[in-house]
Parts: sequence; structure tokens; C-alpha cells
Amino acid sequence: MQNKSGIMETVKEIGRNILKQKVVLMFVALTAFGILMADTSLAFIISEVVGRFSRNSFLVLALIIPVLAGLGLNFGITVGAMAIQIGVFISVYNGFTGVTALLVAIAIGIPLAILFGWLLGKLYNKTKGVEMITGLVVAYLADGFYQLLFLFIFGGVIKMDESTGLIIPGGVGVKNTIDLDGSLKGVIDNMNFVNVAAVLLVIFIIVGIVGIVIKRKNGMDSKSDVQKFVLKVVVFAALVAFGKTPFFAETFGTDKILFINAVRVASICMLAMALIKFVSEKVFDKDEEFNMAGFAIKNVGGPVALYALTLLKPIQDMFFLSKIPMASYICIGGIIMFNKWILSTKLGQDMRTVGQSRSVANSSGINVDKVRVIATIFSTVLAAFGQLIYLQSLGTLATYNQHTSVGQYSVAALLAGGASIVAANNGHGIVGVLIFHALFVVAPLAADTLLGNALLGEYFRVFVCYGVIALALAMHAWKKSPKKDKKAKEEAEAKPEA
Amino acid sequence: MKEKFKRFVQVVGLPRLIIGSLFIIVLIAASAYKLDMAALFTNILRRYGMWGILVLAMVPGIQCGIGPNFGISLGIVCGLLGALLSIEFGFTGFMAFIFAVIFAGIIASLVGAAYGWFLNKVKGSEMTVSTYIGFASIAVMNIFWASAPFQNGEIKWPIGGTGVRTTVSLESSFKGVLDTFMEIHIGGTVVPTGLILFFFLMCAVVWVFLNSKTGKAMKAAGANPVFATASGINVDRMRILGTAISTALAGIGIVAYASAYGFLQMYNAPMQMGFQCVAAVFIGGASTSDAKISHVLIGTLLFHGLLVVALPVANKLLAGTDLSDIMRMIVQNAIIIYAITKSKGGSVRAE
Repeated sequence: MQNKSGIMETVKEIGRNILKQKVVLMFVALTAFGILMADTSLAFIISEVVGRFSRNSFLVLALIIPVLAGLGLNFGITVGAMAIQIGVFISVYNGFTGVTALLVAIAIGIPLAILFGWLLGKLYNKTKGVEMITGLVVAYLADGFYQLLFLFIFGGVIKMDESTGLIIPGGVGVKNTIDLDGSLKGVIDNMNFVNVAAVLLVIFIIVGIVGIVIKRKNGMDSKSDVQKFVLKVVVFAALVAFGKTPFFAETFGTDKILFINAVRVASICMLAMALIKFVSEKVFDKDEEFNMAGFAIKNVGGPVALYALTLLKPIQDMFFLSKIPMASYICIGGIIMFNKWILSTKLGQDMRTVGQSRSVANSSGINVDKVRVIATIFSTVLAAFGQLIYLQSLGTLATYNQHTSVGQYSVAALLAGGASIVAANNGHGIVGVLIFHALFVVAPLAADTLLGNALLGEYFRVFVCYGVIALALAMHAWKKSPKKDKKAKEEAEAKPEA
Repeated sequence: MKEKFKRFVQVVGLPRLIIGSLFIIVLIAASAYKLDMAALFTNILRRYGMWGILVLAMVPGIQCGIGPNFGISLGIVCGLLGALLSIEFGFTGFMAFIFAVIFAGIIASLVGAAYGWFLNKVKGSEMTVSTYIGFASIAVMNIFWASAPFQNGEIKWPIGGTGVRTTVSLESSFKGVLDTFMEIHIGGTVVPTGLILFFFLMCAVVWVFLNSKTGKAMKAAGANPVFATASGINVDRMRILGTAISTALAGIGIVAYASAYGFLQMYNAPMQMGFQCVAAVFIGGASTSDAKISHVLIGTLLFHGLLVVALPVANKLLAGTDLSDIMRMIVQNAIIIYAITKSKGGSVRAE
């Protein structure tokens, strides 16, 4: 009985939480309406959204850390995108290809992103409370310097080789579009993800051993720690070995694989995680209150159900066009883990405190300015990686305007997922990218069938982008202001008496 | 000597000093390149008259306490609508201009009042909110322009199209009605007397208003809301009034701008205009909490004068490039950031 009412409570709780997310609901409704109106197959829309998701979600997730640190929505991530574009240009100009090109672009772009992030953080410290407008204007300002660099310094001040085909012949400056085909295009997307997993396994083993050694030195190790670690390594290695078999490559594929297959791979991994959890709780910790049935429903039922779904014909039809670049998704998974992990560290806790109240943080001995600068650097560097994923997936670099809408669209997507200026998490980012980009895909299509003019849909989606940002900012300020007004009134009333 | 220099910088203000010297440098460069100076001065004067009222729109906004009004694109689209209505009703020449101004003023002040009411709800975040209100209003109006049932041949796309053209020619309505009014020729320089007089007239109107009883109350509400409330001023109402005037000036300003330019630029054209106006008034010496009409007069001359002269100079320097536009981006946004960092933290006023 008790269990049943508990379930009812959970359902009610979920219902309440859904109702709270008015922005998300509005977006879902709009998108659903658009999908119904659009005269295209669902499979096409889904494949478009899946493609956009793998390109954009990293950038959106790069916005979360500054929100935690109380900086609001970092419109300044555009400078991170610019930094990596400089790296990409230099890498391609020097004729690097494949993974080397990727590494060179990172080696140049990321230090630049760190520098820009540091400068941006310093500036944010001078404009506390109005970081968002500062970020927006900084993006425009940086765009000016960026154009100066690409139009006059490259090819003008610094003489550059025209035979690379990247410099405007005869004139000065870099060409409008840079084709990344043969150099960076699909470098991450087409990576063999089993190999990526193998590399991660090696890193995991090294980090784990170091961790255990440190614990042992401090005398804090326990036997079950080592047991759990070995178990994880064994399961992980087994998965990698399974991925290496020809059977796996034939049935699932190893780089860009069908959505259905990706879900199957994911459910296999989830089952493996359930196994780890089961063994470590039941066998190693000898947990007395271990609930076998509950555990099975929660951790085994999910993946099995997921796998079963992929066997259904209608679902297969819906997703048959969608392909998943697995290595890019590993990167996205990486940033999600990073955002979670950072919160568990001392630095992350400091960020939270600073985000809640600068004065409280200050009095508890946190160097507020430093924490804010670090948060900004993180965000900028992550944005640089995000833009790199975007560029290698797209395959071309529009030299002068690839970066211009990065900040706005990422912010709008995050807000569409239900985030606000003071609260954002991975879930908001993922949901936001899905529905915002679904709306982006269907708006012109729907406007075409409804009004016979695709352009109107184009305008509409731009309006939605700006509108959702305006709405979120307004709602935030609205919530904040009644208290302030009351305070001002009280002060005003108190004054004449005094 | 060092002390004296510091005092000098303090009195003139760093932005004015830097942009002023840049302006003088490009002027010298222009004469060194043997450019047609008379034509340049004509252009400077025309640009001055074109942008003046739009920059003037910043003053009531800053004085009533909403800070620099990044959202004047809201007023600009109202002004464009007013101008289109005037053409649609078939007015020509000076009457077309008068009616465009009247329509623009009425629509923009009504919309501006609603906008002011909205900004009262978001005290403390006006700058960001107004920027996005401006952007969103342009996007909404894009939908409107693309589907509006205008019938006049000058406005709608030719041959069976619907919606407004990207640029609407004012040749047959009110192009140049202000410029040619009492035009003066000094050497090769043409002074667009009417245009500049109209700008000064607007400045005078705003000045009279600011020195009236209501204007002073508005200023008090902006400078110190707590004190103003204590002395019986309805702060919220004053902020609505200031925002409405600012928006109306933006609407009228774009009509004057278009009449001198000869075209109405529709769709995304006004996107960055708000930033340009904010930058101009900051260059003139304004801050996020204080702006005077003198700041408008100086700032518009320095900023737009610089841009006018820099264009041909940059072309001589590096042919076929857009260096002057890049310079505009850098100058404009650097000035805005500088002013924001000087605004003492979060709120427009000191904490």
C-alpha cells in the first residue's frame, strides 16, 4: 500500500515539475504544432534534429558553469569560438590533415581561448551585475578585432602563401569560406569510437591507480575500493574487447552508426553499468537492505526496454535516416560528466557559493574574483571545443560569420530547455537543444505549408530566438523586483520620520 | 605638467579625447590624400543631421533612469511604420514628411509607454532586457513587413508580390524635403539647413521639456528614485514618460534619417542602430546615469564625423576593403564597454 501511494506522490511531483516549466511546455507545443503542419516525413525531421544535436549541444553545455558561478548567461562564449577558428585556419593553412590538423588546431586555439577567457573574466569582474550585456557587446567588439586579423593582418601585414587557396588572390585577407574537406571534416565524427573508448580505458586505469596509491599513502584505502576498481576495469575492458570483434563492427558499425544501433550499444553499456553496481553493492559491500526486485526494475528493465523498442518496426522507420557520430557523442558525454564532476570539487562548491551570494562567499574566505575568472575561462575553453566539434561536423568554415550567432543561439537553446539566469544544468541543455532545434527545423517547413511562404518561418524562428531570451531575462528580473520595490518603499517611508 | 594633463583628461573625458584626436587625425589624413574636402564636410553635416535625433533619443531614457536605451529599434520600427503609412495614404513632398512624423510620433509614444511599463517590471536589468526587446521587435516586424497588405507600388514588391520591399525609395514622397529647405552653398560645401534645423528644433523641444516642472521631476526620479518617491514623485510614471519620449524621438529620428538618405531601410537594417546611438552619446561624455543635450551634439559630431571621413581614407589606404566598418565596430563597442565598466557595478546607479 505504502509503495502505491509513494508512486502516486512521485507522479504528482513529476506533474508539478512539468507544469513549472512553462517555457519548455510552450516550446514543446509550438514544435508539436510545427511538426503536425510541416509537410515532411518524421524521419527527415528527426535526422535533422539528431544532426543538429551532435553539432550544437557541446556549445550549449559550455554555458552551464558561468550560470552556477552567478555570471548569468555567458554571451561571451563567442570569443572561444573565434579562438578555435584562428587555430583551425592556421592548421588548415599549413596543410595539416586528419588527426594532426585537429591537434594543431587545438594546440593553437585552446591557449588563445584560455587567454581570451581570462581577459573576459577580468572584464566581467569590472562589470558585476551587468555581465550579460557586457558579454554581448564584447562579442561584437571581438568580432571587430577578428575581422581586422583575418582581413588585414593575415595576408596583409603578414605575407601569406596564395597558392594554398585560402587567401584572396591579389587582394588582402582570407577568403570568405574555408573548405575543411580533406583536412578537418568529420575528423571527430568519423573516428572509430571503440578506439576512443580504448584510449579512455587506458586513462581510466592510470587515473584509478594513481587515486588508489594516493589513498593508500593517506591510509584511507579499503579493500572494496580496489575490488570495485578492478571490477570496473574488467567490465570496461570486456566492452572494448567486444567492440573490437568483427561481429560488433558488422552489426553496429564503428564510427557514424545508425541511431537504432547507437541506442542498442548504449543499452548494452547501461547493462554493464548495472552489473558493476550489482556486484559492488551486493557482493563487495554486502548491503543487507539490497532490494533485488527494485534494482532489477530500475537498472535492468530500462536498458532491456530500450533495446526492445529498437526492434519495433515503426520506431525503426522513424529513425532510419538518423546517424549518430559516436565519437562526438562521447565528447558530449564527456562535458556532461565534467559539468557534474566540477560541482563535486571544492572549486565547484566555491562557484556555487559565489553564485548564491558574493558577500557570503567573500566573508567565508573565497576569492570571489578569482573563482569568477576561472568559471569564465572554463566556459570559453569549452566553447572553443564545442565550435571545433561544430566545424568538423559541418565541413566548411565561414570565415567571417561562423561565430556571430554562436552565443545567441546557444543561450536561446539553453533557456528553451527551462534554464534561467541563475539555474542551469545538463538536463536543461539537452532538452533545450532538442526542442529549440526541432523548432528551428520545422518552422520554415510549417510556414511554407500554412502560409505559402517559407521566409515567414525563417523570421519566426529568429523571433523565437530573441523572444525567448527577452522573456527569460524579463521573467528573472520580474521575480527579483517586487522585493526591491518594497524595500525602496520602506526606505522612502522611513526617511521622512527620521 | 603630469597633474595638468590629468586634469585636462578629466575635464574633457577620455572617450571624447581619444575619438576627438582620431577624428582630427583622419581629417589630416584626408587632406593629405587630397580628398575632396568640401564633399567630405557636406557628408559630415548630412550625417550629423541624419543621426542627431536618434542619438538625442538616448537623453530622456538615461535621465528618467532606464539607462542607455539599447531598445530604440522598437521606436525605429514604429517610425518606419509611420513613414510607410504616410506613403500608403498617398501624401507627397513636405506633407508626406509631416504626416510620417506625426504617425511615427503617435505610434512610437504609445508603444514606448507600454515598453516603459514593461521596463518598470525589470528594474536593474534594463540594458540587457531592452537590447533583446529591440532585437525581438525587429524580428516581429520582419514577419509583419513580409506579410503586410500595403498596396502602394513604391512599397510592395513589384509584379504580384506581397509584403514590403527591403528598401523603399522615397523619391516620389519625401526624399530630401529637409535637406533642400534653405540649402546653403559655401564653396563646394552644401549645408542641409533644414535637416540640421529640424535636429536643433528637436533638441530645443527636449531641452524645454527637461527644464519644465515635469522634466525636472523626471530627472529627479532617474537620479535618486528613493528620494524622488519621498518627495511625492511617482517614479514609475516618470520612467514610463521618459521611455515613451525616447521611443517617440527614435521614431521621428528614423523618419528624418530616411528623408535625408532617400530610402527606408526595412527588415534587419536597424539591428545595430541602437548600439551606434548608445556609443555616440557615450563618446559625447554621457554615462549610464547622466546624459545632456550637449553630449548628443558633441558625440554625434565626433562619432559620425569620424566614420564619414574614415571611409574614403581607409579606401585610399587599402583599396576595396571594409576597414572603416571594422573601425566602427571596434570604436562603437569599446566605448560602450568602457562606459559600462565606469557605471559602478551592476545597477545603473551606484550601489
